[in-house]
Amino acid sequence: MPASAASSDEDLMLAYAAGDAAAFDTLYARHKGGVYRYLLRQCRQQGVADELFQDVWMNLIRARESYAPTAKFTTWLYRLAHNRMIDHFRASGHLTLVSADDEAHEEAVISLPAARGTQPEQRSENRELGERLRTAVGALPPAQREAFLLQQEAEMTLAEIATLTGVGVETVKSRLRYAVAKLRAELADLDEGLREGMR
Amino acid sequence: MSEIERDARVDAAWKAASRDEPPAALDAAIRAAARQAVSSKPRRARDKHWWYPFAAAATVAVIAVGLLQVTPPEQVAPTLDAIQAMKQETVPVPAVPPRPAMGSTSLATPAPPAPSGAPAEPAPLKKDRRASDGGRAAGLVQNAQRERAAADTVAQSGPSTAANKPAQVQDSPPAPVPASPPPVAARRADAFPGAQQAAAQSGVTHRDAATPANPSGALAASESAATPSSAVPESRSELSGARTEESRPQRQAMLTANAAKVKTATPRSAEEWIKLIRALRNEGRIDEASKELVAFRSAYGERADSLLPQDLREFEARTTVPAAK
Repeated sequence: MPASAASSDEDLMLAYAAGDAAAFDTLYARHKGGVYRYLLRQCRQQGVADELFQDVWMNLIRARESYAPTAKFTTWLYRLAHNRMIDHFRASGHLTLVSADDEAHEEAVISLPAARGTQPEQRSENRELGERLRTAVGALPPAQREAFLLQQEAEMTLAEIATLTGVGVETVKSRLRYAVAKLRAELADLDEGLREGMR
Repeated sequence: MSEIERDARVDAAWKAASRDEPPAALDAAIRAAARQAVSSKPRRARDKHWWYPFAAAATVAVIAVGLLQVTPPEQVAPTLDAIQAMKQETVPVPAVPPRPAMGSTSLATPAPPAPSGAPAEPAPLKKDRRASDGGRAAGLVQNAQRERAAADTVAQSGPSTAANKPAQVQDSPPAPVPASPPPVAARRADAFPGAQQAAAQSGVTHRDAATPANPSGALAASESAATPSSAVPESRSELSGARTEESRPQRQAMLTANAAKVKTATPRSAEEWIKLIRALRNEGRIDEASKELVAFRSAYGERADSLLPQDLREFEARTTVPAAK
């Protein structure tokens, strides 16, 4: 029975493993953006992100016969992406990116560009907001950034993030707390700058 | 996620800021690879264990063949001895027809098949035990043939009415051996009197009397049970014939023939032979003792001098010198 668009990710993956190519199209359409952004925000280079993205999906295609719906499909998919990214950073000598300790970066100051006086009139509010937010996320410690990206792009719960990253739930909670606080502060700073610019 | 650290403004800002998508070329390449993967090997995942039943069947076959190779053959199929013993016990012995004469016509003819399947020539077997069983079976067949030949010879040399009826050894003294037997027949027949006498003294049948010549009682029993020729019917007929009135020469002839069977069935060692000669000498049966000595010499040739003890050599010298004179 061909898998429909309303089917769950697990059913779609099983259908694809059974030979239903259309199921893969549906699955790919659902998750390609999140996986791509997850990789892009982590490596911050589009060329590398493209390469990693293709590798992730090719690994999924090769591993389709061994897939078993023991967990959520997104957990399995992002584990493929997580592992591929670690391999990339290990090969490029930046292995500490993901495994960096949160507390080591607690006092790190996110050196965002100053909000005040940065030509707010040349950009729309949303555009500047998005740019500064991406920059702020990129400046987060790697573990906090990954937790934030998994929460935003993969819609994972704390437990799922903890399972994928191999840490405890409390650790994930702490990482997210720090990450959101920094981003919120950045947004508040941006708002204040925008208000001053409008005056 | 209604969990902590989820800020609606941050979420909305991130959704608006992060809209990157993979390039269309990359999408097409990945989709094409996915289609190619499933079209090249359709439903191959379900068939990857197709060889399990074949492997299991092959394993079972190998184990079965191995067990057949290792298992002793008598556990796979009963041996000849077992078959013979079982049939001897279960199948009633057919009544012995009255033999018209003990002549060559009755005994020289090939022995009738055994009452319940004569043992065939055993096929060569692999295992030692199996080989020993086959060897025993072959030896029994050979012994049966020898018995028939010996009995035939004795019958020819003995009185014509001697072996017609079965006999039972009771308290009768041993009868004199035939006057001029052929050498071979004499040698075979003369070996018996000692045992015959012992049997006569103990009052048992000739089969029991023959037992001393065979140290292994079990072997004798199995041999007598496996003897396919007239040995069994003959011995049975002897038991029944004990009730009949028989002449002493007849019984003696029968005993002599049976002694020949026993002797040929179990080759006598030099020590046993020497004991027999001594026994004959001590009993005063000088002629028989000297004949045994002659047979001993003919059997052992040059080794006879070294095997014979001093007393028997002296006895031989005393007995042969008068004969030479």
